[in-house]
Amino acid sequence: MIGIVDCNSFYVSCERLFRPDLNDRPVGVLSNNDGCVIALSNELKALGITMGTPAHFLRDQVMHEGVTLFSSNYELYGDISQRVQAVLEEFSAGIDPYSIDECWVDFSGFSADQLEQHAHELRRRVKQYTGIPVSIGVAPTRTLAKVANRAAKKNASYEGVCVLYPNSPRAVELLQHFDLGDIWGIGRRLDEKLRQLGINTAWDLRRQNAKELRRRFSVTLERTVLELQETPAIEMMGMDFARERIMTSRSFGQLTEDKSEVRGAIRQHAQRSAEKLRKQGSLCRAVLVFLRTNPHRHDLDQYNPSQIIELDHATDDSRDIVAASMRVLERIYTTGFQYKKAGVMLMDIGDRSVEQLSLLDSARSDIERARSGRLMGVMDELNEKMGRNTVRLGSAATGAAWQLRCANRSPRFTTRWDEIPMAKL
Amino acid sequence: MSHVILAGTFQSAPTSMEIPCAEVMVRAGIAGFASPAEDYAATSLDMNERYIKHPAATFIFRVQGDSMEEYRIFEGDHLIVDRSVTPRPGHVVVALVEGELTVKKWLERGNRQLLCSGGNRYPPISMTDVEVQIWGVVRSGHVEFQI
Repeated sequence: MIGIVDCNSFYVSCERLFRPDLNDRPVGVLSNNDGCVIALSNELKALGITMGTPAHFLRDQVMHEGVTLFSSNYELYGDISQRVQAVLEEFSAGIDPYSIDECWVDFSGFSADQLEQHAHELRRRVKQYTGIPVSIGVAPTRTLAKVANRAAKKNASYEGVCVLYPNSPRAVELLQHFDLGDIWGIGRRLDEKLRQLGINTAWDLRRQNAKELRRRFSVTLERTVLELQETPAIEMMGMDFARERIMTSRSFGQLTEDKSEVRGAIRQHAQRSAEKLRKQGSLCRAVLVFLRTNPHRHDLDQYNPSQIIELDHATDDSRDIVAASMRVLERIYTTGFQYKKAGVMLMDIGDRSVEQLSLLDSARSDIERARSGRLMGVMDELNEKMGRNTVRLGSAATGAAWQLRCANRSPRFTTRWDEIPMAKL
Repeated sequence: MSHVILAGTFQSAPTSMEIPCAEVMVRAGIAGFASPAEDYAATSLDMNERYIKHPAATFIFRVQGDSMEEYRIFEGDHLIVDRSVTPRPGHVVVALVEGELTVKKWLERGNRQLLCSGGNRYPPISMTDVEVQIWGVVRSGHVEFQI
């Protein structure tokens, strides 16, 4: 049995951890240009606000209805996410982080009555240790685990844990009432086409012939149907393997302490990594930047910093990846060292078709995504035909513009000792 | 009343801050001339290992106020708060009292559960009368002296 642990309104929960006065109150987190709402508490949803609502629409609610909006604070979310994963790892047989707020957990080897108890215990531990409420769905396949997770989240009577045993009445009942479009891997277009065939629920889809759907649609849909039929067909990276990574790094011609040279190298590595990412049809959710001094030069001071930044949505857009890399570089670069090497690593890489369905990405419009896709396509084509680096991203303003946008960001508790928030209202 | 200020949180995989420390080792085996250095295998004291038992559940707070001086907690101190410890009477805790994170000592008096300050300057808070939530258990405090 496989489980998916999903943090409830993760960004909001992170904000509330240090602002418990905001429990039970409407809270939202904005996208990284403060443009629109990307995370909502239930109380905010109850006011009729939805994912993707532009921030300026909410001005009145902020003034009169006690809505609190935060700029996104990825340093905090990233750290809390790692803590949640650490707790899950400590108390389970194995984990496979899926996104900043979701993690697959190995639930094999439990007897039926133990399993449910164990899941509840896991949920309790995560809440106690990290303060983050989670929902857990457990089932024979990943697709069904996702179904179970949604039920655990929506239906209070499950108390955050829903286990679907093979062939159980509960599974049948749940699938019969589970909307087609909510199934993991069923995008909007596929949803429309299937409805024309009279397939409206997960149960309808489960009763289809998988091979037949493969012929008419795709191998992906076949897998989804198999998974609904309790046959595991979607393997992620495997529980014991590190996630796939894309790394681009190079040594400088000679040791350098010229910041603009380092910056140029990182920009280039970031673009090259993004190209590799697009080539394999994947998206990434996190970027790591590292710098190295020369370890053999004992006469020089050594400094080998690296830091990861989480992206707010899975992306393959060079502009996002370059901007993120630049932010990390600004953070880790320290003058006074002779750097030998610099590199960029893309992490948390996932399949494009799957990743785009995740909740966080819905804040990004399809139009925007299509535009980014076209632009990147043209860039790759030109670079391929006319030589690498024919088209490159310039050094768009990073620092100043960035600062301005984070107007309502909570303190970065995890990475800045000097950002000390008052714990009082 | 002591207000709490959150100064930072530990990363799940904290970096280690090592303090070199010479430790006398018992020489084992007999083989030719031993280097004199072998008698002193350099080990290190890791502050994280000593004070942070559950990194994923550990948070660091800074305190402001004077209500806990009798318990040797002073304004500006850093407290290491471990949420993995299940709170019980006798613990110094970070508690949510009327919307504020506050440091108090949880004491049991008969069947009354109280959050107490040090000394008599501040009255105890009854955990049954006021809505109180324990946020975490304070494991240790750290004070920096002026140098």
